[in-house]
Amino acid sequence: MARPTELVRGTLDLLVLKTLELEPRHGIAVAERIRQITSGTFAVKPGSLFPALHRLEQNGFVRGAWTQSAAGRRVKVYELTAQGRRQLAAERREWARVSLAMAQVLES
Amino acid sequence: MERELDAELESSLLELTARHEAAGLAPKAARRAAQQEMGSLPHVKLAVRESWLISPWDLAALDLKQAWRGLRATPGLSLLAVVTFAIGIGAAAAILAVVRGTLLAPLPYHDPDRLVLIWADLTKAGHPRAPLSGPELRDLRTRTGSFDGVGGVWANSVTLEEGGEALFVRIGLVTGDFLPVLGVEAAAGRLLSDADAVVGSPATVLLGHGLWRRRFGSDPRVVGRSITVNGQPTLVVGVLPENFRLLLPADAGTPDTIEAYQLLHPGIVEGPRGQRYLRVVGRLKAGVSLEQATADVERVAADLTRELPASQATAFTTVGLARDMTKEVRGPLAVVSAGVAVLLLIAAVNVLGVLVARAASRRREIAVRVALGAGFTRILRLSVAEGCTLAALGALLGTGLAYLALQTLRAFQPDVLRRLGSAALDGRVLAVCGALACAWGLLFALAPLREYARMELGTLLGSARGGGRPPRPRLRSALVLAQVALTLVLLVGAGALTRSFLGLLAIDPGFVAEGVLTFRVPAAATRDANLGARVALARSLDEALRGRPGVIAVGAASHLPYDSIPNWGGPYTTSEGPSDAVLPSADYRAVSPGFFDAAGVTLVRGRAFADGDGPTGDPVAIVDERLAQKVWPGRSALGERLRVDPTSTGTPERWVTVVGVARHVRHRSLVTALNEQIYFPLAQAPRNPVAYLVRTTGDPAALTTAVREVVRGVEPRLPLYEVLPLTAYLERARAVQRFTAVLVAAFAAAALALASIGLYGVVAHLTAQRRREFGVRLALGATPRQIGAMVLGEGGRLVGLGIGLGLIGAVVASAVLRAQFAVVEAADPAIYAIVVPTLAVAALVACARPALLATRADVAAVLRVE
Repeated sequence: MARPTELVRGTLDLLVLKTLELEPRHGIAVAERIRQITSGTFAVKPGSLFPALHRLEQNGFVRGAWTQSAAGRRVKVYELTAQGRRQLAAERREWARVSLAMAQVLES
Repeated sequence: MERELDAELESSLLELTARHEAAGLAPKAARRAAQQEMGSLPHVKLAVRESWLISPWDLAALDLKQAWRGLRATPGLSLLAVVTFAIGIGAAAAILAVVRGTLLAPLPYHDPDRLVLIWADLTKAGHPRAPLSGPELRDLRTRTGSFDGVGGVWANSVTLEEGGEALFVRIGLVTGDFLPVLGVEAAAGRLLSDADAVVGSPATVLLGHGLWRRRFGSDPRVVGRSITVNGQPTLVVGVLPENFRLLLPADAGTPDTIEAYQLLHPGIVEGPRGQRYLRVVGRLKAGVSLEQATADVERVAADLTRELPASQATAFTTVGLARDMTKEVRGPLAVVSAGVAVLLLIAAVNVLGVLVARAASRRREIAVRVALGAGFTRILRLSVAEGCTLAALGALLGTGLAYLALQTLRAFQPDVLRRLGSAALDGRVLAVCGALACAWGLLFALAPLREYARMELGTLLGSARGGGRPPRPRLRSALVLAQVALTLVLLVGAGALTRSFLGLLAIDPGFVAEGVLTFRVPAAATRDANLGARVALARSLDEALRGRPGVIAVGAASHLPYDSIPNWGGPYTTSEGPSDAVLPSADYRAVSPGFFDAAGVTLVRGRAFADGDGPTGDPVAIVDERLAQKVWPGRSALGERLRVDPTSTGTPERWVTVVGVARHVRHRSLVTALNEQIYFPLAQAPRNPVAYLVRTTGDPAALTTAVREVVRGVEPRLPLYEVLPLTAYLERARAVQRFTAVLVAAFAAAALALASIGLYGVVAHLTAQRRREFGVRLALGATPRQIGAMVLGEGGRLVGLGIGLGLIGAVVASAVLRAQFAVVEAADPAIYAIVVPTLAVAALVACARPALLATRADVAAVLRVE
């Protein structure tokens, strides 16, 4: 398993938004999914995740709602809003631009 | 929110525990592992709570705080920007208030845009706008179809006796339909009506609101009461509303101080056709335009010309009342507004320049921010916050300045502006300024962004210390060029206006205003006093006044120069029989023997009136030199005879003998050519009221109490009013010119200061950037003086270009000014000779300090930086 890497601030938001793209999840599930997909490179601590989720909620990019989980527990589940989808697209473009620039510098 | 967060974290903990359990851990171990993963709960809660703080309002507050800090970081530049902008906005707000208060303020009539003034066009006799006569009013009423009503007014004065006190009141004598035409309604009681003129009914009077409040204590029971007017019992029929004032254009000769109204007998329409005294106002019928009404009136004039002998028919001029009221000030206010616009432009350009410079010098700070992760939007937000803060501060300060400016302006406002309305910083003005501030604020925010946008990530992080040659500030140089050019235009404008005002001061009015106190009294204390009594009263007053210490001369006259009461004039001729031709007309004045001495009017030939020129003596007159030259060229006018009409019957029937010739007096306008003048002795052509002129050795105002005492001593029932120095009247003639000249001069001075500062800024900036270059030059053998000269030279080039551009602009502006102000002479080289060097010197002074600093460039230090 790769070493967990420090996440640059701002990219966490992008990761969360992307994770919620296909289906709503609750907080822990989001962190779990990110860790799963990146094979452990990005291990998001609750201490960073929850502030991020709440910030996204305040900006209107995600919407939180209390429901019953499959196991019968009450959990707060987050869902991507339309505005959130637009933000996700924007941040993806931005990320692409930055990584291209980095690549150009590194290749030169 | 807190409880929900707790619940969420609790549920998350449970989830994590469940997952660990699913992965095979024992329940207790799973819980412990979960707790470890979650980390310290209070810590997480804190982190979430912190994120809550970033709500949109808090974000804005944060931005503003940072903006404020940013502005404080460059206190000098920020202060400069705020003050500069404040000057611009303050001036704009003050002028806007004046314009709005005067040009845009509605007249106190109902639907004033439908009102028109109708004048008789007696240009041939020297009166392009003359009042109408009763029969002419009737013709307009009956022969036109364009008006809902046509009424006339004439101004006079009466003595009102109330509570044992005699009060002098200016009265408007109106036809029954005049006030209804204006659309005024009585606030109490009713308006005057033609029915009041039926034989046997008492005289009636309508009180103005101010008079009612001041003298009758706002007592509603005064309506229906009988008061004494000119010795006659008169019925008060009503009171006018508070906001009503009779305002007619200044040349209508209707004083603004009319406080009550009485009825003109309807029979005046049968009076002599040549007896012209009515100021006529008509209300357009619904759907009728001014052009249609004008054509209608012209048609009537044409008909009358066909039906009447030439001496009696006239053409008519029809003008819109509202537009006519403002025609005197529209030009000057337009000029002043243009001046303010230019000043605002210069101020804004200055601030832009300052902000761009600031942006350039804050490159390093911005670079750091970008490196720390601030996106472009964040920088934009910051820039907007800074721009708006600057604009807001500038606008606040500017509003304060505007308020102060308005207070000062009010002190100097010419009468004509005052009567049209008042200037106040009301809601609309503040709103416009607010909008201006917002617009400029955004512009200020965007200006530095150009600098920021040019920065590339690499360059910023690499050589944030200013490595690489920064681009020359072409934009800033262009801005300064514009400023210099605009300032030159303003300076030339101010110079031209000042010159024209000084020119006015230099015009000899034909009388000596300094040292004379004036006041007005009715000609007699009681209405039934006969001519003999009036003459005796006049003589007693004269003697009593002369007896006071310090009094050099005393005179009386029917009119004072630059008076606001209606002009008095009439025809004159030397021919014997009745003539059909239009007779030339002169201004008539009735004066006492002492008048010429008191007013300082020189008699070039003959004598002043004497006591012998009384009711029983030969009818005499004194003419002015113009008339003498015109009628009897080349020979003495003394002893010649003239046929005149001092009683305004409409035809000249009295023969008078000329006993003296006086200097021409400019008593109605300093600028436009006036009619000839004919003086009659007051004893032979009695007028009411009478104005006294008392020439004194000292300050005329000091005589005020003495004069009151004297009059009371001679005749206690005589009310005394309008005690003013003669200079107050003369000032009226120059007031508008003075106002405009002073204002534009103030703008020009401000512009000069601003442009100099702007120039200084650019040159200093340029110089600072080129320190290395100077170091190299010095090392290569140039002397400090050469460096200094180079900087000065470059600054000078900018100024020279600016002046060149400005000269073109100034020529255009002078042409426009000349169109507005008849007095401004064609491009006077003297103005340019003064203005251009002034600007050049100011500019060079601005460049001096940077040039000096450049000479001190330390070679070693500069090279070391590399």
